[in-house]
Amino acid sequence: MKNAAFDEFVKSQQVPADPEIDWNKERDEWLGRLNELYERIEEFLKEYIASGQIQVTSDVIGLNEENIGAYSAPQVTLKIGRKQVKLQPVGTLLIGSKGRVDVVGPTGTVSSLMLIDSKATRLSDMFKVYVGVGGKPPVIPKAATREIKWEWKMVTRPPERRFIELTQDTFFQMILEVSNG
Amino acid sequence: MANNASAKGQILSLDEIAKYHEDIVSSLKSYFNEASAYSTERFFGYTVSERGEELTTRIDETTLRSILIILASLEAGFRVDYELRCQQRLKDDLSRTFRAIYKEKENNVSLERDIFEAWNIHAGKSKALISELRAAFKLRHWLAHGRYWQPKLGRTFNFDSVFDLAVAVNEEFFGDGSMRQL
Repeated sequence: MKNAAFDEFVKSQQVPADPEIDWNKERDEWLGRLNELYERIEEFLKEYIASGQIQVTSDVIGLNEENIGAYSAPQVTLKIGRKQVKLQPVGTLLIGSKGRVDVVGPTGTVSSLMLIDSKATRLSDMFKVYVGVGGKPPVIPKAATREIKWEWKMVTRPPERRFIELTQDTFFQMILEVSNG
Repeated sequence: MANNASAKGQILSLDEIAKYHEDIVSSLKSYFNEASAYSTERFFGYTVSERGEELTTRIDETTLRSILIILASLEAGFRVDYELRCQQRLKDDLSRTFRAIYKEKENNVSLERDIFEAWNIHAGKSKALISELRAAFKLRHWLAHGRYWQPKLGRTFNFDSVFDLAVAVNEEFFGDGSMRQL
């Protein structure tokens, strides 16, 4: 015997979540930006790598994201003498961000690198609320629908949630924090 | 005799605890829902599965807290019943045993060693419930004392199983439903 509500639920789950989105393209863009990040970090560390004080190794981990499915992504380990810092990719389908890499120190201290709107310096910059008055829909200025330029930034922990530009200095500071934390 | 029994109006009933628990779980689900007004700010940078895992953790923690409240209410019910039986000088075996304990310990009575044990001797068909209660109170002690050891419970408890146990105790031991209406 058929149950109408259950039948409807099963049918609703057969439709792709958003057929307009090319999920393979989303995945490939994310993997491309991930490689850009690793190249940039190697550039920051090139003197230490050249002198043999820091070794950079790479392996592959499995990720599984809704709509995209299972795929492999590169993970990088920085070996600084006896300490190891891992750069672990988390995924691209995130709330408010286009990608996240967790930077994990030897004692498990985690800091995050995220793909953030290049114009945002803090979480409150990411959201604007437009209110309609008198039953009319809100008027959203054209500037609000501009194309977002995604940029790797360091994100401080809650509740502050500031977005810090990724430079050699700020990256070194991050590595110090996760290594000594 | 200290009259703690008169303070029974402050003890939460099982129905109140269950309603409160359901309200909190529903609120958590709304708060963690992607349509929530707080979603983007609160869960910024989370994956969908991370948000789901955190919701599960919050609900599990809420459940443990609710279980602690149920068991604390059960303890209060047993202690109020002990005092009432001592005050009212009832003639049944359990009340006589309680009065003997009271002569020695007054209100410094142990729930498990004294009250449960007396019920265990005089409860007849409810001995299985006393055994369940003893197991559940291992969980209560672990929760109430900050969870600093690995509990050996011998069984799995969840909100429904502890609630059902409390209802069964209420009906079996306090047949007038008094504990549920405290």
